Amino acid sequence: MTSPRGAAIGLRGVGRRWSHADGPGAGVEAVDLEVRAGEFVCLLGPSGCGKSTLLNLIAGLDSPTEGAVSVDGQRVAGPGPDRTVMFQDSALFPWLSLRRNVAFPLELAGVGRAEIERRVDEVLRMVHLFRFADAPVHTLSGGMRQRGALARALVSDPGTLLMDEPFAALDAQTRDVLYGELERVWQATHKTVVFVTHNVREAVRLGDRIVVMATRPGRIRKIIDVDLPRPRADADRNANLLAAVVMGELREEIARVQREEADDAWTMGADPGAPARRLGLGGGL
Amino acid sequence: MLARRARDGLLWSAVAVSLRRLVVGYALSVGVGFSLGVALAASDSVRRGLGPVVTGLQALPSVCWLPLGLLWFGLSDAAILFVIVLGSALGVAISVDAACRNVPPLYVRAARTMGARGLVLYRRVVLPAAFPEILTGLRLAWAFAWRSLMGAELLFVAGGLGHLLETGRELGDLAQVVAVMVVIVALGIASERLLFDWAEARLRARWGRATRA
Repeated sequence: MTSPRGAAIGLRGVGRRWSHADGPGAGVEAVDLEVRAGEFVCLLGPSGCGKSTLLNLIAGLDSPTEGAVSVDGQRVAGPGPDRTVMFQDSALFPWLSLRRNVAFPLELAGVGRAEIERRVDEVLRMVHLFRFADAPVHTLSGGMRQRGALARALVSDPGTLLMDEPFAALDAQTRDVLYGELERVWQATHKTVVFVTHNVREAVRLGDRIVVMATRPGRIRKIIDVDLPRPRADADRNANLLAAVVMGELREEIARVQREEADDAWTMGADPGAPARRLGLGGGL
Repeated sequence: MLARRARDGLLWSAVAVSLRRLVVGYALSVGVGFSLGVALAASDSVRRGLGPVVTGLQALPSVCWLPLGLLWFGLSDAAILFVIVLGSALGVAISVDAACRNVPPLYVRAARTMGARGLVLYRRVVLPAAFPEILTGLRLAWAFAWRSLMGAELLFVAGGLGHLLETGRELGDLAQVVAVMVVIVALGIASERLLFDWAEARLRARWGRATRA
């Protein structure tokens, strides 16, 4: 990897409103956020808080209706290979082998064949998939596919790695292994990482900072620093304490969402028997 | 009867003439169909303008194009190719268009973040992703092209299997008529088996799809 450091990301007064013509999307409002070069930032919030919307704005897959997003001082005008994205699904192309998938961004950029070979080998080794380079994608497990997607995201040596719940569909054991892998790769490459999640433990495990988001409209509720030594273990006492603090912030937001999505006055943490009793009463009338 | 026509070479030359027309006509159809299909899928204004025309023309049996083809191109192979292209290119276009719009949006998003845009995006991502679905369209288009060719050759005397069939009728030679029909069916089945079964098997292996559902 050649770039000595990640990119700095700036969001200033960023808003994204959705009209009916745009289709469904979670709006965000007045978001100010500075991500330092090489920092690992987690965007945490319940569904509908616009965390994926923010990620798409940084990726350039979508543009803000207010404010501006900049990367290393340059205003983001569209997607670019300096900001690669990992999704919940690996999005590896099933018609290509793993090697050709990882080579894809370099082929698009017109990199020479020998150089492609060298860099693909390098990133495949980094994610421990070198031996599976020529395997068709469908023969790889879910965890292997996400590692493959990580390799593909890293191969063009971007300043920023954008991750949209990349481990959410994996089982807990595989996820735990991948936390370690991601942390190691991140420390080795000094990329800036923006990581979207709804999982508090994941955020505490990985982030330098956790941006807790609020819903409707999506906005930043609180930014929490994670001053814990790495690598962090799940059972660590301080991590547990911090997770509880973050969960407290989040709880209120989740309760709000549930109030809006439920058809009665059901709230999280309230007497769990209450709705059932109300239903029972309704049935008796 | 088959053996006699095979010995005197009439059958082989007819098969050669028909197959050459089929291959050239089909290749043209695929070219036209892919371009038109991608244009329909990629551009809303093309879809609004040409979409109804394409589906409308699809309702016209391909042999109905023959008189127009003869007027434009005269008594030549070009008229027959014209009929083949109009008989099968629209089907290719419709299937390419539909298949492209069914591609999972995630592939497109991922490709865009890696810097793919415009035609490159279509050539490298959308069309490969849509290909399993397009293959069905190509298969049907092959059958359409074969039928259009036979129809055109029957009506328009200039060599080929259809012509041999028509000659059999004129001579009142039932054996020749049936023999040529058998050859037409056999060629149709064989070409489809060879080309498309092979392509589909390869595709299934690559994508990891079960051979049987």
